Amino acid sequence: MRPVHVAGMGLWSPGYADLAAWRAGTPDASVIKPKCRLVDVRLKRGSSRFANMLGEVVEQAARAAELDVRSAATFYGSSLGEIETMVELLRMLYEEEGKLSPNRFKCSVHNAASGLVSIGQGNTAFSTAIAGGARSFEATLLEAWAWLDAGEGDALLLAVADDRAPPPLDALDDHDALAVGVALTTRGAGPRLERLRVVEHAERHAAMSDALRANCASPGLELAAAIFDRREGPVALSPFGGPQWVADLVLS
Amino acid sequence: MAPLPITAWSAVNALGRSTAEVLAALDAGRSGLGPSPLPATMETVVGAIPGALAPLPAEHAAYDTRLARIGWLAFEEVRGALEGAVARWGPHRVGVVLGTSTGGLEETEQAFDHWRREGTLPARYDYEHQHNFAAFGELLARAAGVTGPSYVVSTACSSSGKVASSAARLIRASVLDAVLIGGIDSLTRMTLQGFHSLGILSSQPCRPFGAGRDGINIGEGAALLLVEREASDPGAVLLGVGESADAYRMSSPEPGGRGAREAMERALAQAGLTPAQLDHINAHGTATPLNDAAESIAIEAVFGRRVPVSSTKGYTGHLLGGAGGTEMVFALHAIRTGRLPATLGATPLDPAVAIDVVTEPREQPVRTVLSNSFAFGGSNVAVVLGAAR
Repeated sequence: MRPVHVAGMGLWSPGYADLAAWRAGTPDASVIKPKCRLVDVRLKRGSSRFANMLGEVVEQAARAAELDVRSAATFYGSSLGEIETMVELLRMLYEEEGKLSPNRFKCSVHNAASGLVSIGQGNTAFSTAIAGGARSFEATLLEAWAWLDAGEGDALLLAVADDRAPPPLDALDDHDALAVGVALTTRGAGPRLERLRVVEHAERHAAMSDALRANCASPGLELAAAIFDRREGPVALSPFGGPQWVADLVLS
Repeated sequence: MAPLPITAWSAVNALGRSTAEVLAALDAGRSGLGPSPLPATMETVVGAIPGALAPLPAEHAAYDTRLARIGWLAFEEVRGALEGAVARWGPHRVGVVLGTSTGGLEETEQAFDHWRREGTLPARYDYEHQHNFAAFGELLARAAGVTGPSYVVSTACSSSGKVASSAARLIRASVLDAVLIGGIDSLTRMTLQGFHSLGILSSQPCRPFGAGRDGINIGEGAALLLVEREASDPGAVLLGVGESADAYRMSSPEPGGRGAREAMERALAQAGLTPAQLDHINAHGTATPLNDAAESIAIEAVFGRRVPVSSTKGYTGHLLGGAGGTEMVFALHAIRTGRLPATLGATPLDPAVAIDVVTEPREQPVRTVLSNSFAFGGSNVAVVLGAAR
């Protein structure tokens, strides 16, 4: 595939409102909910923190890249998706005699953030939502890159996130909440991803806790760190070891 | 785009446990709708897979769920073709990109109930292998020796239509040479109660495009299609895919059908076809008052009354993330046989529907079919399939 440029990035995690805060390394305990200004309060009814995390990093990446969120294509990725909404609906199913909140149900689909942001911004451009388990970042980047390569557009916004799972599913995950946004363009002068390739093993360089590493969005932190640290070469696109896709980063 | 060969396909749903059974029932005009096997607080009918489902082979026991058992029936039919693609292209040049809306939710519903009563999740419950949306594709990749990318497009009811464009892009970008696409969903209590909460679940067999239609029926099933870079004697070809977003409401379509129209126009453009060159439409046709009104306006705007339109939701129910893939298989059957299925429940037709709804089976030459799928969040996709030659 043809090279693509990383024109901007965004980040949200509890304690870290954006990429600069994460780089500074000092968490702010007041950061517990993303602002997500792309979606108005009325439209947000029934939406999860997860959906708002995705909207927040889309906005940040768009701002950094000077892309218009009212017209840019959007690619969303997650492993667990709307798990908080699902558990709340399960509670209603069993404890409220099956009476589900229609607003919650509407926002229970994996593409809820896609719908909310597109409606909030009046954006009729291409949008999709991907689930690839632990490899959701890799899968979402692959979809997005192939879309650019097909010439269906020259810029897009990609957002990958997982929130913590609520009880009783909290025992099944070991990750902290994290959302990463990336603006990709086919032209520009910034850092570029030269090609995708499969390797047997990829080094991970970014400093992060094991709990952040376990989030499916953590390869986005690897990419951000490589750009900040001006480290060219392969960026691991999976949180874990073993054969995986890497993207070769070139900074010139 | 250059046509891409579709070299194998399968579908299982309320009409049958094999593709042959499903298509025979479609040809016979027999509905698979019936009483719900799941407890529900409302009257409704559903499209449930008939009969008991066998457990997965022991080596795949970790993935064993109702969803996976349904999907395994469809997989066994295309397995040989998929393994042939792996041998032909190499395991890393083959991928699995499926659509689902609810994944293994039914398993988690049962696990949640167990947790409420017992204070613990069931010992055999395994979210990653049984519920995670990517799990079923991972199972198929393992079983067939596929080592290329495996993931899911999950845009609710457009999911398994959108995977057709994913496959086309991955092949055109030379990332892959063959992609197993399709979709799957199983019945869940939450789906029934959720659509009931929105007031769009019918208590009767659904009536797409009919006067007085009052909502959908939920179904379950799986469909799989193998798309390859080239093939010497393909059964049919993928000609084009169009996608759009309504940017209107989370659970109802833009009433003028703008998003649906754009998706169909883009699909035709990618296929290099004019509206006059299209022979048949398999509509989304859910039988909600709003969907069918918007979709018929959109179809009329693009095609006028010239193209015969069928909805097959009255046979299978709405398969959600499995709908697009299933209806692509129905489209391929129309191309192969020249038979257009009647839209069960459509008569008397809604007089406001100004398109040619097929209310009795028809036979005619069919070389091209467009299949629509629309979803929550305003996600729209139209897929154009054609005869190989």
